[in-house]
Amino acid sequence: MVANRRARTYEVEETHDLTEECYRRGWTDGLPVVPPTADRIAEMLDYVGLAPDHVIGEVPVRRRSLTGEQAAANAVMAGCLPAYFPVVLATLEVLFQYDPNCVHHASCTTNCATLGIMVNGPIRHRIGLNCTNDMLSPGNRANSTIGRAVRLMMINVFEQRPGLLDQGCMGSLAKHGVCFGEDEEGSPWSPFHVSRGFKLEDSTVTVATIQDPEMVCNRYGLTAESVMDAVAEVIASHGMATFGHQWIWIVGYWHAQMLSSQGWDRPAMQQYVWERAWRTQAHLKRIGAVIGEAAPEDETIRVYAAGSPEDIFIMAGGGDSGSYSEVIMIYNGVPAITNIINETSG
Amino acid sequence: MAVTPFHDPSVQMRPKVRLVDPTGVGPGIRPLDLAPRPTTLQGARLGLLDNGKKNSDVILHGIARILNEEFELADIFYTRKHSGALPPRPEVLTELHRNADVVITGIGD
Repeated sequence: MVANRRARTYEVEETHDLTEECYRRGWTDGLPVVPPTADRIAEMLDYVGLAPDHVIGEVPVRRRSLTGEQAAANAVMAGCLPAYFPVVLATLEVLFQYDPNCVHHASCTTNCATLGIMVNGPIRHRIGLNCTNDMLSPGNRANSTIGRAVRLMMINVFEQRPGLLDQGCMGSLAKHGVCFGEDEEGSPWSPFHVSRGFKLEDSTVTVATIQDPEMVCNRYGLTAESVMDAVAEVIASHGMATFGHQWIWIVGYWHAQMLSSQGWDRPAMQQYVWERAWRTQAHLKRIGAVIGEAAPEDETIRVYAAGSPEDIFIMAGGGDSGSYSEVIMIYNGVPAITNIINETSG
Repeated sequence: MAVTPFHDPSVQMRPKVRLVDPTGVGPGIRPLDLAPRPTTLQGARLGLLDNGKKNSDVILHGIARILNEEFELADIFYTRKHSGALPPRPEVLTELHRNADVVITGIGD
């Protein structure tokens, strides 16, 4: 594997249509990209003090390595500002420390798993990360470009291209990139990263291999139990029909207000939802998700959607325009790993 | 004495922009592509790579039986990945290289 090498460069006339040039070279994810000019890349690297030929990580099965220059080029193309690059790098650090081959999990499965990037701490405000209204939608630069930068690296550096190494079947809008911040200020509970042992003033990233987020529209319930029952139902009836996973529950603002005002905290919510998010083994056999004929005793065997209560990760987020939550399944791959974001200003 | 570069006034010079290649392709590293397909399976050594998911073994062995009837395969070598969504471990790939001319892999679920 070649390491510590500089990227090729191409001189193009300034009046040339650089957007089309990037399309012509196959560098995009289908959307236009910011042309990866040398000056923009240098600015990105200078912000974090990273050398262009520094090897961030290697994926042995691809016989490819990711250099600082390549990471910066793809972050530029995604539309990242230099101030976002520490979040991108912290995400990559999680991946390469966990298992370099996990780029496979995060970008090529038939069920179209992708990466979820969840941010806590002061950096959210420094980079203007949306933690509330429409945070999972396009519209905010940081939210829309951080995950996109990693996705472009998957495509360009590791060649996870649809139909070739990316064998996604139906596709997923989440593959454009899922990045958001927890609404720590609106949350009635301690921030997610604090619940994981980090300090309040730490800026952290939590990275997981995820399926598409699924909305929990409970606008009818007047009790915390109603909200939690709805969440348990969504978890247990998830389209993957596989069980024992980890889950992320983004508690929407009004759901959080209701839950906390009725005395519910994180551990109690985890326990309640876990106890109710299951299907019988008989049911799973009848639908074919488990092999075998349903026996009478299978009616009493519960197969839990989450491995344990602690496998339901609870964080606050989303807007206050309605009563919603969001549930995200963590697919096999990167379990939710939280790491410090090292910010270095240039 | 410094030599002044010749400037042809009839040629319009435009400023250039330097684009940096964001891909993993470079000197000595070609784009990834699929291996060439075999021209025949007659007498070939077939490798079966079970991805570890339910029914992969059933389907792969079934396919091998059908192919063997038609092409009189020299050998059928079966092995298994440790994970459905991760690449095979290097030793598994080495074994496949050593024991098979073509490999079928896939899922059964």
